[in-house]
Amino acid sequence: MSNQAANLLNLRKTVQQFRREAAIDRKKVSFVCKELINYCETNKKNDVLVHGFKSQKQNPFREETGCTFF
Amino acid sequence: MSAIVDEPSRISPLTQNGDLHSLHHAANGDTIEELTKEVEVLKKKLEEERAKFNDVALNVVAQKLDPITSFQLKSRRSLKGHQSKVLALDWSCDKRHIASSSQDGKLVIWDAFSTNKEHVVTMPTTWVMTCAYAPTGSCVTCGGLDNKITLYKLSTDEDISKQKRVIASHTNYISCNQFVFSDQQLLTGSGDSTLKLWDVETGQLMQTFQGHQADVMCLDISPSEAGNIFLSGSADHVALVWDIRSGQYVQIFDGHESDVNSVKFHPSGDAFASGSDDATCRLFDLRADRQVGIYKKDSILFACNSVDLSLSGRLLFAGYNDYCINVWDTLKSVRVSILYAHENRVTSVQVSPDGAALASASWDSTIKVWA
Repeated sequence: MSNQAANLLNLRKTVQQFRREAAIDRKKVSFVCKELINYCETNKKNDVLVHGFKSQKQNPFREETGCTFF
Repeated sequence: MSAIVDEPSRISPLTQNGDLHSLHHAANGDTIEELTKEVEVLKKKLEEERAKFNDVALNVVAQKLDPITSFQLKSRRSLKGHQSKVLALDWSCDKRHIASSSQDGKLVIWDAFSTNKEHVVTMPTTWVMTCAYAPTGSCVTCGGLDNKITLYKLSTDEDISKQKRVIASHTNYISCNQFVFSDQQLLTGSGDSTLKLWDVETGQLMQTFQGHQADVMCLDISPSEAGNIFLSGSADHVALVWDIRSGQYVQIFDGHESDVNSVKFHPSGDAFASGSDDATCRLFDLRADRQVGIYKKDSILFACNSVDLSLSGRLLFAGYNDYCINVWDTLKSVRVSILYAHENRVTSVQVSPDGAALASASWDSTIKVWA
């Protein structure tokens, strides 16, 4: 009998989960793609890994150059 | 006059799309047959819904974008010192320090600019699979096959290993851990298939997240503090999105054909990238409730262990068992570059907090910083 009760409980949980998922307000892929592209384009200027540094001097990890002593 | 209700009232919830309005809410005295039937109906409806909303491919929408041509990453630093495989790394919020843990039993804090080792801690176990830097930088955590998370306070004057404290435990190995926006709370994921939220100060368990059917391999917290959600990836091939307060998972993302080793939120907070033993990386969108991108090539046969995204979300960095780091254009779904430098499997990749550099850890016992 307890096996039956366990199965019932699991099924109820599954049903509840599926109901939650069914109730999600989904957006179309075309819409979210445009949003993702928009985000990337808007933040592109701050993303140094995409466009690189204007001059290597700005790169905190640039190769260490020597100093000359006068 | 009283209305005698013979059966539970069947309510049709109004939804914006209309197609799901035929859902029936059954009362509590259900039979197994009725519930099983409802599961089948709901499953079919969900599949139909998801298919209907999948109206275009991401790389098609991204066709008009300029391709990435100015990508130029080089290995700038090689952090050497570990005697064995480096399994985990974490950048400090100060964008300069990195914590790494290795099978040699050591946790090292590096100054990535100078490559100096600032602290070397001997860990309680050599099998450490994860480490995390606290947001304030004042402590680090690590854990693994000892089923525990140990916290070390970082200070320059005392012996750090004496300052340790166990703050979390599971019934199986710990695969991942991350601080939740402050030093006060920590999320852990385990081989016992659960994730747990802990109060760091007291070591008290605050919430358990159950739902995965196999080992939890990775987790990532939403970049938006108001979001209150986090992700987890598991050996059960799915990624789950959880509500941190309720302890319930709110969305399931399937698609991967093997263990999901790594999950990372897109900086927008609306999507996430994943890497898997199936040799692919994917992009899932929370609002579309489905996979929207896949990053794979016939020539890429080895498991992807770790992924991370650049600041704008345009680039996806992925570390594989074939010793390479593939750099993908997330929108056009093409590979931009291959970063070769490691001499063994790449176990972890992480973009620095300011997006200026990428750190990678490997079985070759080194950590490389690319910029």
